[in-house]
Amino acid sequence: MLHRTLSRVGGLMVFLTSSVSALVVVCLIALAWGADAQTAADRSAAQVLSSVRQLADMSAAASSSTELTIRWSAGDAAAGPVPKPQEGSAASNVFTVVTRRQVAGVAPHERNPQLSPDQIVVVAVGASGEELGWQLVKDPRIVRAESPGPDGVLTGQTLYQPLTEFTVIVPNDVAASMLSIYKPRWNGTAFLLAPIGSVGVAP
Amino acid sequence: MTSVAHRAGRWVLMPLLWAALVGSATAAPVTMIRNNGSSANRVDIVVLGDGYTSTDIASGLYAQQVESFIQGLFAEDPSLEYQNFYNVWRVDVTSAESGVDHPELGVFKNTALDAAYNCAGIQRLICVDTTKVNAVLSSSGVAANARDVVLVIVNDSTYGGSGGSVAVASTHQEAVEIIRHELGHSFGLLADEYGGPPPPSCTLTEPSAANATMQTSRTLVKWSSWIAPSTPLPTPGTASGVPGLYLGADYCDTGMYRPTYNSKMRSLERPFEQVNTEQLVRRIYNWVTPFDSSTPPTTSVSIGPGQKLTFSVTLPSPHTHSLDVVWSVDSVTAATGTQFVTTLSPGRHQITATVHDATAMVRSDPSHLLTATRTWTADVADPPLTIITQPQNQTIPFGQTAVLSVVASGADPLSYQWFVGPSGVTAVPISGATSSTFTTPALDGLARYWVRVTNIGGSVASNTASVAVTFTDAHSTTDPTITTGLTMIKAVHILELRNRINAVRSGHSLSPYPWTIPPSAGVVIKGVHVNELRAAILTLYAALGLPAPTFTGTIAIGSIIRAQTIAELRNLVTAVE
Repeated sequence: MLHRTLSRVGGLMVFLTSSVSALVVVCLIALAWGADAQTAADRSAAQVLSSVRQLADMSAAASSSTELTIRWSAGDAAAGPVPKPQEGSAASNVFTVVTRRQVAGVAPHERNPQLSPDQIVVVAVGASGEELGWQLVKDPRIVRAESPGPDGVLTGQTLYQPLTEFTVIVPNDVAASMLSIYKPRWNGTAFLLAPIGSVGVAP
Repeated sequence: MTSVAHRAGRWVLMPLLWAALVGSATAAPVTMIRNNGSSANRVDIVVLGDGYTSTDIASGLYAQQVESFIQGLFAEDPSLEYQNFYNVWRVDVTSAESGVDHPELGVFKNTALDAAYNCAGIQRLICVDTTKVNAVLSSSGVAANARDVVLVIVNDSTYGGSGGSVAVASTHQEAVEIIRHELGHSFGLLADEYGGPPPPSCTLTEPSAANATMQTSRTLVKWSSWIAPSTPLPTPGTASGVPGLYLGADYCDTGMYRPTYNSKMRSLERPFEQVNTEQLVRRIYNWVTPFDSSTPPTTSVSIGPGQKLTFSVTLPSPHTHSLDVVWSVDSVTAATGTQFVTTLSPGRHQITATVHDATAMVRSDPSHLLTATRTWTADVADPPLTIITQPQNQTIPFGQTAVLSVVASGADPLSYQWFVGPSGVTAVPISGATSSTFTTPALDGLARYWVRVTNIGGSVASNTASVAVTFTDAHSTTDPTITTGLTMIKAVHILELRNRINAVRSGHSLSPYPWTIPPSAGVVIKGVHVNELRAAILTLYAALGLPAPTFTGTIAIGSIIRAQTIAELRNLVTAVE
């Protein structure tokens, strides 16, 4: 039995789909949110990371956490790993909660969170839109292909898998209703966070 | 037998089916093969295998190949020096078939993680299905904080691997080099130190990575602390391990520089070199605090005065050096080492343990990752208010003063109030007598004093200090010195005074005084004896034409006679002798 809710978030149509079964599938279709196109919505990473706590720090005090496995569909899955989309291109990012599991462990705590373009930043958001906590996650799409040339010097390229998954550990006492997902972008002096999508996670 | 395209399409079409599959997956056995501490304070590497059948696992082949790989991974710095900062978990993932896909050869295997060479048409590139990797990790129960590095080893000896959120390596003996390099990216956030041609394309923007820069000004180069003043910038030459500014990095042949001529981020079979090693050590300390634990477990302790306090810390241990611990009390360095025993003075103190890794591998640590502190607040109770030295009984000559003093211990400030009388009687406080010493007025007789000492914790009363006064009369042959409170007035004293009065009377041709009250040995001398002596002296003075003397106080009949009373009579007799 499926319940479907239609809502609007940031001008985007959001379909929240949940199931009463053990499997919870919530989809957000965030069309035209390019993973690499800088937009006015970009935020200061330093500001976000300093004003919002690490989920890891919040989970340390929690008795248990929920491990959410998020599927990220970023293109034609049948095409396999592809070179990085060029700046300015549009991409579709569909994030789906595919599993939800209770775990006793806590998320890893980072003493000095350091961003990289090879990561994504996941921000847990409450029902009223307040940002609750964040977690850095390695960009699961990335596949690095490097091999030495005749002189021993490496050459390589970065490929992006169009269909991947990643996990987020959300403390059970953090009332997250949504995860906002950002891609760090380095502008030469600081990281900006470009929103690339979100996914509803309310149980 | 699957292909990347087939797999991908299937996941798009059947997410619910896959989710159900995950939910029912049998947990793969997990073995901790490097246990160096709690995952909360270690970098945890979790290793999964692909293309290993139950036979391969049961025979020990898989475990042996993982062990060999891990040994190789920790064979070079900084992982070698910091190997105790890592835990390693091995997940025994069982595949239906041995080996992995080689699509370029038309070889396909049914394996748990769908590892395949020739990923994206690149022969040496091995891809795995990260969805399946995540599913195995979740179902196997590897803790959420034990997946800092996820590594898949595939059962194939052909050289190959890949980097990314999941690092993949074959069992080829040189594949570990691929992983070291790729962990430089995913764990160390390091850039490639090679140039073009694209792809990837060169972007001439100052990179965020620690090992690439466009800066050519010595002071602005990120790794300037490693560059000798004599090293020219940009740096020519091909010498190994000489930090400088070498042209070509981050996919740019020009305009972008790397720290050393060659390193593992440029070529395999090379050391990471100084700057990359420094960054990797800093990244290790991103996950590992220099403290494992500390005692007391609470940050505040309360003890009684004089009690010993023991503080200790346990630390992760680098392979060849130790972390430094400095203890301070109220910001003053007090000791070094992992344990600190101290006795603190009463009051509140702050005890701090500062741990620092003074490794030569790191010269720049702007975020102070190699340093950590633990701070405790210790409240040491004040000692109970106690009188250490009581005011002492004294004997002073008539008309002199006595100095009484008390020594007390307890929480400052201490205040004092002296009283006249026996200890505890507060009827006669002495105005202005509010210090630890007190000077009595000139005394003509026995006096008793005590002092009450007070602090924030309460009050304590001293013992009674008696000040006795001595009276000396040179003309007396019986006890010329008598002391108030000490000398019992006896018949001899009365008889001597009678004799001396009569002697004076005789000297002035007066008849002896007619004494009517007969004192004798053993009789208690009372007021009647004194009053008779006073009458005799008045009579004598009158006979001699002298003014009548005055006597101190009235002596009641039956009173016990004090020394000063007798002394007064002696003085009056002496005056006319």
